[in-house]
Amino acid sequence: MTQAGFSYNVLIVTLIVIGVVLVGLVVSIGLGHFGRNYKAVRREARMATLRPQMLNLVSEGEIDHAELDLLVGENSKLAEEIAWQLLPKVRGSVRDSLVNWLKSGGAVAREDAATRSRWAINRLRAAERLGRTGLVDHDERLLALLHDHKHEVRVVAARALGKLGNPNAVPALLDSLEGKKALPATLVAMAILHIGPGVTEHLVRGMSRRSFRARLVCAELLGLLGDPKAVRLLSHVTLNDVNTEVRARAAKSLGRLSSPGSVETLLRSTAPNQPQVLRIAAVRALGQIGGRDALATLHACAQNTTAELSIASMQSLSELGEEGRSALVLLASGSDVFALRARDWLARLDLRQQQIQLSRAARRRSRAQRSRSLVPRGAVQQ
Amino acid sequence: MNILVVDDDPDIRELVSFKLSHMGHTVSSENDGEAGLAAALEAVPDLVLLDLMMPKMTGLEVCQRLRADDRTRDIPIVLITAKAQEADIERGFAAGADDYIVKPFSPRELASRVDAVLARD
Repeated sequence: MTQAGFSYNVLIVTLIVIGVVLVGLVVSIGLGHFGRNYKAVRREARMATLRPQMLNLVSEGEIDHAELDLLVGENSKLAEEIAWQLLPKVRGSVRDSLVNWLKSGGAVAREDAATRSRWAINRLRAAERLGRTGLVDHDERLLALLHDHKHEVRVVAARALGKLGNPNAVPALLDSLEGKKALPATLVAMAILHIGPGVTEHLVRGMSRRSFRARLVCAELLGLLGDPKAVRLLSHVTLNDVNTEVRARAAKSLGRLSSPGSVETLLRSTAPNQPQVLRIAAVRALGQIGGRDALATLHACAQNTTAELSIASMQSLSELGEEGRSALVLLASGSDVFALRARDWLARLDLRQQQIQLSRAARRRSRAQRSRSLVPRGAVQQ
Repeated sequence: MNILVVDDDPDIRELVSFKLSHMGHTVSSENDGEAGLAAALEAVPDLVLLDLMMPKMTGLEVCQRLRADDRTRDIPIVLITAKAQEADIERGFAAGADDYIVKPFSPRELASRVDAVLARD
């Protein structure tokens, strides 16, 4: 065989091998695609049959586990998925039945185990689902996930802890506000708020933390939860915390709690030697509490040369009813910049009053309309 | 009774529909406000269950439109609302709603609310 003939044969064989490999590749891709599609179609079909049957059973308000098991048959995985989807949409005994069914079938334990999965998506889903169960005995896994290296997992774990409603999770949630893996303060605050009224003691303790972010969240939440026991602590924080933002937040919370006992603290916080941000928070809080002393201070602050403080004071006056209005009228009688501002707030007050009157009239009309419609059909109205 | 359920969440829509069917009512459902309003005006139901937050037209708007139309002004309307939307409940009553159900809901509570509203009418 000549040299040229040999080269030609090698080329042909190489081309054939490449061709076979390419065809094999195309066929395997096609088969894989077909297989996946086939699986998805079959799954959809089974879901389409099973879902209405399960919804029908759930809608009865009480689930018989044996009946559900019989209905589910071999489709336990699909049924579990449907049950997980339904959990946040129902409450009462039917929700408890679903949770118990998921627990008895091992689905909850599987999610608990999945919190240790190497895949972030599995950990995330597990955290979300454990939160949906409301089963406090899984909070340790969720607390561990607050230190997960993926931000998304930490976020979902914090929300889930809020849904579980165990006050003992508060210290860990406050810890999660610190360090490189810190969670957003609003998210943590919402989670703690979701836990409910049992968190007050933990928040009071949280006010002595070194972290100003934790103190900021605690001060805000103590106001939102509305526990009057927090007034003394918040008053102390307003006057003494080393961080101005925390002091201002505590003052804001005092306004929310509206305790006359905090007026003295707030009046002191409006003094000229106090930080501007605290003075503004204090005048806003005074606007929520009211009283003679508050009124006098607000009137004085309304004439402060710092525009922000002056405007905040006038806003507070506008919220104090007739007495506040009189103070604004007095301010409006001058010809300086304060008079202009006061006239602006008086105009806003008038507009607000008109809106309230219109809304009341609409409600009266609606009530009258409804009461007419409640007269039995066919009855003659006098 | 003919009941119209308007909610964009298919799970809620079907759960409510099943429950009401078990109670012996004839149920139709729509998945957005616009379609819900059209359905109510075309075949006037005996009761409308309305979600507040829906695409195309909100539940409040649907409620107002139903109250403004002579054919539907007297039909009872029950709002289905998430807990976070409690402020909207007041607006719902001002718009003419008769009652409300908070999501997540219990099928039993739904049944008693619907019975109570229908009995009132």
